[in-house]
Amino acid sequence: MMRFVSHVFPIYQKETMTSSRTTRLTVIVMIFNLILALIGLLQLQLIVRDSGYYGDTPYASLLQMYTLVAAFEAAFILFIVPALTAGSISGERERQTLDILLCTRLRPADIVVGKLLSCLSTAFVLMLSSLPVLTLVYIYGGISVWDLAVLFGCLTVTTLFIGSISTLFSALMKRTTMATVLSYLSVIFVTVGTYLVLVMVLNIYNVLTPNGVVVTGETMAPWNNLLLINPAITFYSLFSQQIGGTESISMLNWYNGYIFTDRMLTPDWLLLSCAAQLALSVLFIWLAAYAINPLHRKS
Amino acid sequence: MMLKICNLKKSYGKIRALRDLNLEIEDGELFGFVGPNGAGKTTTIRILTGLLRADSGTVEIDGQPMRCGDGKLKEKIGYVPDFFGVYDNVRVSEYLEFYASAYGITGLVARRRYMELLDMVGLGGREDHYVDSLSRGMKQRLGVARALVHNPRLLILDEPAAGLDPRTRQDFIQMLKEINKCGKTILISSHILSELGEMCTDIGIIEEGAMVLRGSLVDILAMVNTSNPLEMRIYKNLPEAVALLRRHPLVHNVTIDGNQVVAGFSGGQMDEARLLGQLVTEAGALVGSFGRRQGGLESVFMQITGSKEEKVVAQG
Ligand SMILES: Nc1ncnc2c1ncn2[C@@H]1O[C@H](COP(=O)(O)OP(=O)(O)OP(=O)(O)O)[C@@H](O)[C@H]1O
Ligand SMILES: [Mg+2]
Repeated sequence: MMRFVSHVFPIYQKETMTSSRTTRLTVIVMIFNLILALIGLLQLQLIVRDSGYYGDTPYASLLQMYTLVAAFEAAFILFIVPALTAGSISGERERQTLDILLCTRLRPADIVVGKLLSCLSTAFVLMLSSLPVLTLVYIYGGISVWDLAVLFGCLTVTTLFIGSISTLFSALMKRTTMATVLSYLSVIFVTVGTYLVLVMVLNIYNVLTPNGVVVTGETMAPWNNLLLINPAITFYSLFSQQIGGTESISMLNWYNGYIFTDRMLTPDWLLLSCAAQLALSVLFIWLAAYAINPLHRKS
Repeated sequence: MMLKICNLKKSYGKIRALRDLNLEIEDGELFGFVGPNGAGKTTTIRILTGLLRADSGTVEIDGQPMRCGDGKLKEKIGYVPDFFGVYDNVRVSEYLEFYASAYGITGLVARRRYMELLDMVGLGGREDHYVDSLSRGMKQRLGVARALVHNPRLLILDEPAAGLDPRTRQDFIQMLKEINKCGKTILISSHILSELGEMCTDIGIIEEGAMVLRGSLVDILAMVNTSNPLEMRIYKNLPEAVALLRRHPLVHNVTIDGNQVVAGFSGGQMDEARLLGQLVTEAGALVGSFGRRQGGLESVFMQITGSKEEKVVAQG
């Protein structure tokens, strides 16, 4: 804790101060809230119309609104975090300030963590600004404070996970543009790529096994653990558990029992996937710190 | 002993940037680290500041052996790199506050410290300016203030005067002298010897990754001067004087241009004096002027760091 205050906080403070002087954060929050408002309004409109038909308040629609808002929030974070962090180290390098930082008593890990924290605080601003829309659902019932807390917890984990990947690329690449491209590719990989890998594995099993023998879900089970690092599945799991029933997200059911299993809809899975992503985050942070440490730098 | 470098070696792939560098700097010195482009100045400095790992050799700072990435020793060094940037959207005061906090100095102590430093580097009253609005010379000064913010014992500047106009450079050098007087040991690199000549107490010349000369400015000038030819102006008995010179065992290469005689001479200052006496008494010459050609600092530099072939010729 002492170390945090004395070593990480300076970087965090500088980052938040410099970014608050630009219009970037304002624009991000504005766009984010505009879209949230649109979603909220449209959904309320639907509810009002439906209640006209059925004569009661359709809780399902309200819960759907919660899912929509929360899913949008998750998608927005996946989209915005690489932009926030891909330049964190390479930007210092391009500005020729990284060497000076490394000459201070701050250690590479302090710099990396400080930068990530400032990205996290931006994510927190987004989460907080979405609270009014989310509490609409809360007021009508169906969602508890605990649910909101778990949602924010998952969003934080995702931010850290994607942020640490981007920071690692930022530390490895000379140019911010390259780091940004690779970061977005990684986001696509963890959300879509992991799924495609599993489809491929399943197909390979199908080709390799002799005729008549059916590939079972059990064969795929170890492979399916790959989806632990897929934030999309994390949130799929979360929403299914929070609002109950999976009918609303049935489009993923193509590979039901093979790639998508019931295991993914349990609290255990949620916990495990958060743990896996956090563990990877720590690894990536460590690698990023290793990469910028002059002790290890090549040439 | 502020700094002691022993047998430092560093290669970038096949390029041997530092061959076998030895250097000692005493407390309170204002040391000029001079060498032509590519001599290895920046490489040496980056090793000292812990930004680069040497292949072999040892560095001692303030009597303590340095390990790369050692936090304690980092606090003893202030470093102004050859190229450095500043953050956008940051005021001068915030810029210095940030680096102070990076060294664990915060609050009122930090504020007092950076106000003091801003006065010292001549930026007093500019603490509310944005750093990217400062001129190049001011940024350089701010860089020095930044490097001093944690009160290091050794200040290292890598070609700080490059890109400054002569007047700004003069002011800058004056500022460094003041800082040196306040008790800081300073190592400043440059590829222009005369730029440092006037200010430095000591000079080291590095070439191709090794020190070729080290000493105080006076010593270096004297050392190099003894290899300069003797110049004399003779108004009477010129032929006799030349004949005497040609006979003299220490003299070689006599050239005559009017009454100006230039002679290579491989003796010390006493020998010079004796030769003058001989010219007057034995040859009966009337000598108007007599002395070593005074090499300017630049010619000294050229002489020492000349290409290999030239050196061979000079020795042969
Ligand atoms: N990162 C690097 N990769 C490969 N070679 C390098 C690198 N940095 C320096 N060198 C080489 O090492 C040698 C010494 O370079 P260095 O930058 O230390 O010289 P310098 O004395 O600072 O020169 P200058 O006056 O131009 O700044 C040069 O031959 C240079 O080409
Ligand atoms: Mg250099």
